[in-house]
Amino acid sequence: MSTAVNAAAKPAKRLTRGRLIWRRFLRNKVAVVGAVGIMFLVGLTLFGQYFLYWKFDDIDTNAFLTPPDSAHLLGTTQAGRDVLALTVRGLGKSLLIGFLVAIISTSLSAMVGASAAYLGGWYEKAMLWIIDLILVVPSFFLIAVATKGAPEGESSWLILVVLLAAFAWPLSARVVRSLTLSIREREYVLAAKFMGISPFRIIVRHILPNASSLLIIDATLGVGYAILSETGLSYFGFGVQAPDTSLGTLIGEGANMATSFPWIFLGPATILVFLVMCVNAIGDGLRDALDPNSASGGQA
Amino acid sequence: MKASRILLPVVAAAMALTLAACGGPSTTAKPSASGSASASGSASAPATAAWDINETAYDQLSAGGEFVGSISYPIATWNSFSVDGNDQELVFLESPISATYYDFKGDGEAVINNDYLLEAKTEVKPNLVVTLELNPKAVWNDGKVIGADDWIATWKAMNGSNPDFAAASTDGWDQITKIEAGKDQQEVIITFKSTYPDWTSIVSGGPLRAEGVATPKVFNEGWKKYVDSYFTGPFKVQSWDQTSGTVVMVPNDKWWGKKPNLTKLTWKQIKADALAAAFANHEVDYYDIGADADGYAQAKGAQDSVVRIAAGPNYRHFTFNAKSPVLSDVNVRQALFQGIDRTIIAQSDLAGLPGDKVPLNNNLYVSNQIGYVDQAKATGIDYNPDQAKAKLDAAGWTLNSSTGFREKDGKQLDVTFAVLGGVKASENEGLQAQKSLKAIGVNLKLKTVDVQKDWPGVLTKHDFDIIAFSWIGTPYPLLNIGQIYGGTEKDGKFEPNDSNFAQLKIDKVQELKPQIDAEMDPAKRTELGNQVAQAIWEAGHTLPLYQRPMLIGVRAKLANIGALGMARVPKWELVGYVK
Repeated sequence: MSTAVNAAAKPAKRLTRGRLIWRRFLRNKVAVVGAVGIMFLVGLTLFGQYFLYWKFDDIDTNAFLTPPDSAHLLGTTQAGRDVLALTVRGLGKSLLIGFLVAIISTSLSAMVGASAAYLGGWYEKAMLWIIDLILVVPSFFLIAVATKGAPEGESSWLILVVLLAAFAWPLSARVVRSLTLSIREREYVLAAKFMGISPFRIIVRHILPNASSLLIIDATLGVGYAILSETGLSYFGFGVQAPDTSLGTLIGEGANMATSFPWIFLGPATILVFLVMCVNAIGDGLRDALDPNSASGGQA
Repeated sequence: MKASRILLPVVAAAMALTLAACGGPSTTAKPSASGSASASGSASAPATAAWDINETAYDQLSAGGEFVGSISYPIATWNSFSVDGNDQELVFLESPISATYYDFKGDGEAVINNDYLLEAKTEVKPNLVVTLELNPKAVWNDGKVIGADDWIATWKAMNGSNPDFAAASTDGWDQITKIEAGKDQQEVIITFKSTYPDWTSIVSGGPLRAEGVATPKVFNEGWKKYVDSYFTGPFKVQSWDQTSGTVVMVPNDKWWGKKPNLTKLTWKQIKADALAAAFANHEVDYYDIGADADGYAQAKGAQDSVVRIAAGPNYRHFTFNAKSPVLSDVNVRQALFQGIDRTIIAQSDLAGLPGDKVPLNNNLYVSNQIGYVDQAKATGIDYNPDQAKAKLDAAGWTLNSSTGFREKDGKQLDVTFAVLGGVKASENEGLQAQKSLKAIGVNLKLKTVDVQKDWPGVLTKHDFDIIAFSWIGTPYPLLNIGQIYGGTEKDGKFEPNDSNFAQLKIDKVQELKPQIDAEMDPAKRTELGNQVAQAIWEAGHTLPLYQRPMLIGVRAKLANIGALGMARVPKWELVGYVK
């Protein structure tokens, strides 16, 4: 019985999985900086309007195209708008798009990849065929054309989210599929199967939790990908349409004046670089923390 | 920029005209015509100078030197009188190889050019007869003397009697009943239907070669190749490389006037967006900056270069659609006139550019033109939010304090502003107007128009309450004012002209237009013109915003070329480098 006593006496020494991951994550200093950075940026978009003097649609009629000064920390645009306020507003939209695209595309890839591997047969063939098709399609141009033809309005950016997600999932779906191929042979999956549990339930309850580390990493890195795609499209005028704004539209607006009036371009561009670096750092940190084969080497 | 360029053909008819040309020069003191060397390139030079061309006497210039200009598209036809060739860039390129009977000064004053025209006599009996005494030395490039036959052939092609000629504009030419030779080919007698005060607008560009306009086929197709004998002037084309689009001009050995200073003019084909860099790299010597702050910064920073500054002939404006339900009330239109802070719009649109940023207060004249009267001051209708509010109150639009906007019969005062997507000035003007109108309780809704798809459809279908674009002023402010501000009356029903985008009938315009078209005394005519301008202003037809500066980057030592104001093209034999 002594073992039982021992086990009861030192529960503090046993780490839950969550605590383990947390400790591993904290060990990666770059990832921590990234996480703090993201929290700062998210906080800025959520609460920025309460402590920034200028609203994004304010027009300062005394300052058109003025360089950064004490009144406008990042300068103003031709229309007399504050670049800092615009950047914060654009950042909010870019973050929203980034997270939404990541969540949608990762869910999609998890479901499609796992179901293809688990069900097999013609369904798997059809899904693999669709995945291969989407992988070879030049997504940038398709999205560009589609957003131009889409109806305009307040929420037209949601169409962009759907389109970006639609082209982002296939690659990770293939990875999920190959992972599932090994998981589906495990005893507990087979047991569940012979108990007559429905395939959907098995995938959701038994397969995907075992692929969760991959999915979390995929979703995190997907945020960075989605933000970069969105800014790329918006830069060329295809993504987020005026009067709505995003980092890409701001950079696009400032780019043609970048040599003579650099501040319109520099503010959003700097934020964009910082944002994507933070997201990628978090992704790396999560990989280290979640993946038993990673550099952490299974250490606590 | 885009909008104004697309509109060029629409306004083409409104182009051309002078005040002082008809023998009776007005006594008005003209603003000093010289921006001259002292003002050159200085950022503080007022944009109201009529021109800024580094005006230098011919003998002060060194002989020799080359000039490189540019054109943004391949030349499809050399006939600038045709629909396809009627473009300011081509007119500029062809000016060294074209006849010029009248040169223009920066303020639009026409000056007779004795190289082609020795004398012009006008008689009113009671219709106008103009007798031109041509210079017998003036010859086409093959040596044939320019004469009455050329004038007659050009008139027949341009007067619209044969629609197969793709003439850019029949304006003026269709007012001529006959052109004939006098005692010899060097005397040309032009008889008009009635009086035609702006007759120099027809004469100034000279005739085209008779062989080049003899049939519609030659007129429309024959100029696709360069035919040397169709041209005259201080320069001639030495080579035209159709692959690269480069045109090289050298002094014309048959030229009878002052010997040109420059030994070579090269015209490169360069896209508009690459021009700023090309100018900074010394690939071209002349760069029309437009209202582009970035281009201005680049041109100003270029080595051995200056930016010449004058008030340009373009102005931005808001057209108010008088047929739209909310704007049909003149009080509402006047309230908007008084509610929109145009100084702010000018300052914002022109941020980063030199020159005055002030509103333009006349629909017919630009500020550096003889005859300009400040109609905002004359009528008292200028930016004044308090009066604007009072006018809206009086018109029945009362403020709903919960929304901050006015209402009448339960309907909110929503005004739709058609923003031309991608046209920066239009986007910006919408924003600024929205801000100042909000202060008087008007909700300006910005509706973006796809320029590729719906321009100029949005204009011609009148699918807007307010829309902003450029009009281009000409040296002939009173020529054909009905085009934009008038219309025709049939069976007592008013039918606005095609370019009357406000669709508004202004009684004074209808009443005075025939008089203005016939009045030969420039002073009286200007007086009538400003009566009309005042009526247009009071009617709330079109709100001029500001006059665009003309900013031209040129090499610092180049003289007699630069920001030409109303002149539009330089006198090429005088262009050269300062010693």
